[in-house]
Formats: sequence, structure tokens, C-alpha cells
Amino acid sequence: MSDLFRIKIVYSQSHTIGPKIIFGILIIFSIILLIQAIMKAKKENRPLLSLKHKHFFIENYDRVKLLGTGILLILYIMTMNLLGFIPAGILFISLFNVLYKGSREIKSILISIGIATIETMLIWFIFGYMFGVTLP
Amino acid sequence: MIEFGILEGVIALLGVVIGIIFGALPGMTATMAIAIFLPLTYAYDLTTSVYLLLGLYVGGISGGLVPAILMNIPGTPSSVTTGFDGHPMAMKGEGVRALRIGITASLFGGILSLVVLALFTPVLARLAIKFSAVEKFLIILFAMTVIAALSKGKMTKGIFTGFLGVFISLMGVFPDNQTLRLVPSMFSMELRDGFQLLPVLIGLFAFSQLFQEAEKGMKQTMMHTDILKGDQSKKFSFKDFKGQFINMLRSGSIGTFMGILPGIGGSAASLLAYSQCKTFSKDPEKLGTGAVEGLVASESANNGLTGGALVPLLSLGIPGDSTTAVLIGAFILQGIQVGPLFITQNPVIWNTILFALLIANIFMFIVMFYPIKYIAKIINIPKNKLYPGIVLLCVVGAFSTRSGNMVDVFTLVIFGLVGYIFSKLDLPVTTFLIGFILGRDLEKYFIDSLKGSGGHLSVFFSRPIGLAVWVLILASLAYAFYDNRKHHKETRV
Amino acid sequence: MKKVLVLFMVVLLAATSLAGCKKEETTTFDGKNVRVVIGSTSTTGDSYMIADMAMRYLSKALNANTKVDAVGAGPAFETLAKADPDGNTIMMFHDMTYLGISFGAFDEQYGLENMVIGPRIGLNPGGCFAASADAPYDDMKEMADYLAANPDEIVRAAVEAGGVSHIGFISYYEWVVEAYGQDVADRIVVVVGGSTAEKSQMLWDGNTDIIFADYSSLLQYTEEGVEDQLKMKFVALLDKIDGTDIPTFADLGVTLNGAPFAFSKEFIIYLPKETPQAFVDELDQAALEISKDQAFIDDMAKQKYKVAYLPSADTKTHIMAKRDSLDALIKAAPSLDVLTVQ
Repeated sequence: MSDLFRIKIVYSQSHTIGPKIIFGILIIFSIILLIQAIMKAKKENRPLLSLKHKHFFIENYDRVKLLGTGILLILYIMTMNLLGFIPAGILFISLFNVLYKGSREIKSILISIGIATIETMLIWFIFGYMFGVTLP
Repeated sequence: MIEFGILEGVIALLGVVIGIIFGALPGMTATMAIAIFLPLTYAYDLTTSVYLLLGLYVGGISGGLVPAILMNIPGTPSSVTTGFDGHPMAMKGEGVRALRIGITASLFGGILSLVVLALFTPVLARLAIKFSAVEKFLIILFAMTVIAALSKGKMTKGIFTGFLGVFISLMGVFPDNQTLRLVPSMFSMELRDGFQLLPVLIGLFAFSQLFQEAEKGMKQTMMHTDILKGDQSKKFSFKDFKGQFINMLRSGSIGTFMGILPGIGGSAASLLAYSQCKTFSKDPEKLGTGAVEGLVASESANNGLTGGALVPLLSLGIPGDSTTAVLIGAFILQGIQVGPLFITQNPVIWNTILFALLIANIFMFIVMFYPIKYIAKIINIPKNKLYPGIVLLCVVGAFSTRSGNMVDVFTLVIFGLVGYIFSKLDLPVTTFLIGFILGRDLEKYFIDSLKGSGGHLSVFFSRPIGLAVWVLILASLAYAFYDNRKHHKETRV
Repeated sequence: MKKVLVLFMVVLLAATSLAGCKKEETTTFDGKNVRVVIGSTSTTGDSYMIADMAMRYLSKALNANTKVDAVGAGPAFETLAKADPDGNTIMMFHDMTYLGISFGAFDEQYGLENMVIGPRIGLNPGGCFAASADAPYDDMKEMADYLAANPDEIVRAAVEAGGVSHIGFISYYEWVVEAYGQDVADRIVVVVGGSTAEKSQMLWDGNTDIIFADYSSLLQYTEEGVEDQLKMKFVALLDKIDGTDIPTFADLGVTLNGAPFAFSKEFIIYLPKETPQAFVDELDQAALEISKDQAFIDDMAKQKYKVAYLPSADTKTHIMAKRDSLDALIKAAPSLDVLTVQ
């Protein structure tokens, strides 16, 4: 009987105990969530899965900016490894600024580059140079 | 018997200012600031080092409230709860007021913990070692009840994502037997230690916001423009603290006590204080929508940590949190052992530490209270200029989490996406984060308790302090369920 | 005005991208920024302390800019495996470098064979076992005697898995099996513990009877005036520490492959695979130089660490022989699955 309330710890397997318990709890709660969803659907008299009026993205979402953000982020991180912190920072922070500004005028692009340069150099100076934080 | 002079004063001020900068930047923490300045203290004597390091400590813990309130990006893990009420206030145009309330509450928490440190250190240290794995497990569990308290009306979802956070936090090597679990073998080296807290935190808050704003086209500033123009918003006044004294005392004490317990992270302090604030609140519905109460609870608790974490450090030689763990190094470098004999053998240093902590708290208040209205202007910068800068800062912060590891920068992007998708599916992000923060400790103390008892689960009910914590846990849960029910009924009507 | 601005930007961009590309290939540390990774994330442990002190002096001798990064064991191995052999990245670490692989915690690809072994800089002889001051034995031989005399008693030992403390424990265990028999050895149980702070708390809380830790970190708890609940005593050292009369494993009669057992952590500089010999020679030269510096020796002695220069060629043969002899011990000893059963 008392063995019911006992979890035997075998050293080489002790790393699996935590994840197993949490996984169990997760399954229980997903079942509860599912049941709740079914009950709600029944009450409101509609099918459980209706994707008709559901959209993942908001209406008129800004496709360019959203996708651009994702792509730029990944490129930025990869470039940082190759070029180092300062060149990659100036290049991509300028691109982010241009992307979000959405204007193609030379003047606004130049301002973007200016802001990016100042920001990057400032951070590099304070952290990389003065405080000696390891930068890429 | 205190060592203090103009030089020490300047150094302390410098420490506080730099600490605030580190605390305020997402991804940089008080721990990091102290670790960076530690080698410098070689050149100073112990007194000067104490002023510098304690200045960094207090500043670093306090600075976290600035981005939490202004941008809903916690600057440090322990200011997660600050944003719950601070950011809604800022959105209503009360940024400066929220910041000043937070700073004042921080000062109160800091001073309270200092008094505790000065008067009760030996007693509390003896109490702290009575808390073994069982009690620590239960306290972490208690802190997790905040999940239930936070997810009003969405209890099941909240608990589900909370445990999902716990599950994700368990990825990586289990320290006891050095065995990897839950990590795909192709990333076995990169994710050996799992995902790091800071990049996950910034990813969930800052980067998911970035994606959401990009989706909306980055048009306005953070505040609604109409509020920006009209300036009828409430100003800060000390009257804001009317009726908050008990709250501050309770939250500050919770923070201090969490600091005293070695091995329980600082974020548990503000989480517990916040959930208890809700339990005792007269109108709990307002919490999370910009209530002064919640802000006060969070900030007085996380500054309460500072003095608390020094209790076991100075009287047992055991650090109370990760920041004080680095502080030990400063003492060792100077050839001084902190431990059971420290206070009796070094009365002058002991008094100096208390005084330095006091000075640091006062400097923190002065340095932040007045200039904050200029910093609060950040919120008026158009989003399309603000976010690129945030990206840059977050990347630097994430990269320096473990002194240069690209995995941490990718973590940022991954959890940015996770947060973004969660918000689309109407799943709460904060409960996921809380699970992630507490997950590792929860498992560690659970396994440690079982190791000590030969696997018998009855061990969790075998100790008097433990039973008292059980009562608190059940009371908290019962209240949260009641609240959840009430919320359901209200929304249905 | 606009043109000036554009010009300024262009110059700035060019300058910064140049700054990023100026990595010339030279086979000297002279004038370089050298990143020193260590296998621990703590900035208070011996790994960081010794690396920090050594680099303080070594950077002057090499005329290089060194920066110690406490990245932890896994990331440190990974960094070294991926780094270019250009003298910009090195690792300084103790015996965990090969023990981690011998105990199976790390992959073979991070083995000693896949890195260049540089000079040994210093030693930390401070590994020790400590017990509560009121324990009924004063050293680990008496502990075994005590267990032999009291067949109902057990002793729990808090050690870390896969590290120096693990080695210390199994060598003692094997010795007890031989000298006292399996029955006594079976009553010495392992409790896997974490940091020194955690293990100390376990001792105070009565969850373990002896703990493994660093001598200097526990010294203060053994002094006069410490209250009873916290007071500890040393019961054995892994190696001789100058100025102490605590029995060492060798004094107790513990042996390894027939020779008296002694174990100090050796702090060695490791370089990426295929690093040119010129770098190694330069390091040898500089390490020899600082090993004669009295200020360095004093700094290290303050923490009970020893300066112990050994040229890279000798270090290589020495450390590989040490690894092979310990491998035999690790293979012979029972696994922690057996040792942890109460």
C-alpha cells in the first residue's frame, strides 16, 4: 500500500522523473481544455472546429513589415557572426529603420543610417569598450 | 565605526547609476554588472569595493522597473510583475506617476530589508537553514499559485501554459546525473543547459511585441495620441501611498524573506508578493489594469531582496541569490571570508556594509526620482524608430547572458515567435513565463526531497513549516478558483 | 550640408567595416585580444579565480589583452572545438576536461586528442571531506572503523557526480572494500549534491554526514567560535596542503594502482586543434616567466593554490597518463545507481 505513495529514485534515471510528471499534468489539462471546448461548442450550438470566422492574422495586416521583421532578424544574427557586431549592427538597424519607416526617399534613408550608426556605436562604446562586455 | 568619505560617496553614486543602466536595459542584470566590475575591485581596498558593488546591486535591482513600466519589457526577471500594472498606467499617460510610485516603493522595500538585515541577521540565518528541500519545494509551489491568480477567467489555459513553461524549462542537462533530456540530439551541445531565462524573457515580451507591431504596421507611438496631447493625467503625489502601508510592509517582508532563503530565485519574491497582494486586495479585479497596489507590491518585494539576500551571505557564507553569489568573490579577492564569524570579527566592515546599503538606496531614489520624467519621454518616440533600437539592445543583452553565445540570440527570436503565436491563440504568455522561471527549482527540490526520504511522498507532509505552507497554498488556490468563478459569471451577464 | 553629412556617413561606415576586417594572421599573442573561456559559470570558484589571477600576469608577459569568460563546461568545450587556431581563443580548465568524458557526460569529440595541450599553470590541492564537528569519528579511517564496529549505522556522503569529488569518493570506497570488506563499504551511501553552499546546508540540516568541498571554502566553519549547529571538521584531504596536519588519503592508506593516492586539480591551458607550435612555445615561455614572479605566487598562496609550471610537452604526457590511470578506477568502481541506494 505504502508503495503507491513512493517514487523510487534510481540515480541514472532521475532525470526522467520531473519531465514525466509534468508531461502527465500537461496531458490531463489538455483533456480538460478539450472537454471545455466541446461543452462550449455544444452550448452555443456550433461545430467544434470552425475556422470560418477565424483569421490568424489581423485584418489588413502589414505583410511586408511582418515578414521583413522575421527575415531581417535571422539575417542580422547570421551576419553578426560573420562581420562582427559593428558592421552588422549598422547595416541591419538601418534596414529595420527603413523597413518600418516605409519611405524610399533618400533623405529618410540617410537619417535611418545615421540613427543606426549612432545607436550601434554608442552601445559598442558603452558596453563593448567601457565595460568590456563580450560582443559578437 | 563606519568608513565613509567623499571618494566612497562618489563611487557609490557611480555604482548606483551604472547599476540602474544595467537593470534598465533588457537582458542586462545586476548580476552581470557586478561580475563585470568585480575584477576592477582588485585595484581598490575593501571599503571602496563595498560601496561600488552594493551601489551596483541596488541600482541593478531597481533599474528593471523602467522598461517594465514604459515598454512592458521587464528589465530584469524580478520586475516581471511590475509591468502588469505599471504598463497599463503608462498607456493611460501616467508613466511618470507609475515610475515614481515604483521608485518610492523600491526605496521602502530596500530600507525595510536593510533594517531586517541590521537587526535580525543571526536569528534569521538560523531560521533559513531550517528550510530544507521539502519547504523550498512547497514555497516554489506556493509561488506557482500566482499562475492561478493571474489567469482570471482563463484558469485552465493559464495552468496549462504554466506547466508548459515548466516543461520547457526542464530541457537540457539534469544537474544531478549530468544526463541530457528533452533535447533533439542535433542540438545536444547548443541546448546542453536548455534555454536561458533572460533571452526567453525578452523574447516573450519584447520580440513578440515587435512581431505584433510589425503586423499592425508600426504606425503610432505606444500611447494613444489623444492622451498624448491632453495633459489631464494624474500626477504623482505621496498621497498615492495612502492605504498602501500594509501592502508595502507585507510585500517588502515577502521579498526580504525570499532573499534570506538560499536557492530560491529573486523572481519568486515579486511573484509571491503580487499574488498575495491580490488575495488581500479590496478590489482584486482592478489588479492588472493599472492598480497602484500591484505596482507597489512588485517593487517593494524585489528591492526587499537586496537586504534579505545579504543575510545568509554574511552570516552563513551562503549566497541568498545569484547576485550575492558574485559578491562572495569580491570578499574572497580581498582576503575576507564571509561566514559565521564574519560579523563578530569584522565589525567595521559590517557597519560599513549597512551604511553603504543605506546610501545606495538613498542615491537610487534621488537619481531616479527626478530625472525620470525625461526618461519617460521614450514612450513618445514613434514605434518605427523605437523598435530597431530595442532590437539592437536585446541582441546585445541576450548575447552577453553567457558571455557570448549565439544560441541565446536565437532563443530570443524563437520565444518571440512563441509569444506571438500564443497571443494569436489567446493563450496567456505570463503564466508560461512564470512556469519557465520556477520550473527548474520546482523539479530540483522535488527530487531532492524524495532523495532524502528514500522516495516516500509522505515527506511533503512530515514537517511543521511545510504544513503551514500547504495551508497557504490551499488558501491561495481556493481564493483563485472563487475569483475565477466570479469572473466567469460577470462576463456572462 | 547634406553632402557633408553623406560624406561623414560613408567615412564612418568604411572605417568601421575596416575595423571589423583587420584580422591579420600572425602566429603570436603579441597585441592580440585573447578570449579565455573557462569550464565553470561561477565567478567565485577556483576555475575563475585561478584563470583570473593567471591571466592578470600572463597578459603582461604575452603583451596581449586577455578576457576571462565564465561560460561553463559544455560551452567552453564547444567554443574551443569551433575556434580558429589563431590565438584569439584559448581555454583554461582543470581535470574536468577529461573526467567529463571518462564519466560519459560529454562526447568523445571533445577529448584531449582533439585539442592542443598547453602548459600547466597551477594546482589546487584543496579537495577535502568534512563532517559535522560532533560526528563520532575524526578522520575517514576512524569512520570506516566506526562502521565496522556499529553494523546498524550508515554514513551518507554528499559528492558531485562526474567530477573530482566522484573520483575521491570511489577511490575511498574501493579502499574500504579491500580493507574492511563489502559489508562496511555498502553502508557508505552517496547523496548526489550540487554546489558547496548546497552541500553545507545538507550537512547542517542532517541530510548528509560528510561532504566533499574545497578546503579554503570550508576552513572558516572549522574555526573556534562557530556555533555548534554550523561547526565542521575536516576528515580527510585528497592531497597534502602546506601548513595543515589533517590526514590525507595517502596517510590513511588509500592507493591508486598500487601507489599512494593523491589528487590535485591541475589548471592547464588548452588551445584549439591544429594551433601552430609557435603559440604554444610563446605560452610556455610566458608561463615560465610568471611562475617565477613572487607576486603571482603570493596571490595564489592566499587561496591555498600553488603555482606549478610544467612545459606543454610534459603536461601532455602527464595528463594523458593521469587520465588513463583514472579510467581504470572509474571502470572498476560500481555505478552511482548502486552507490546511491539507501
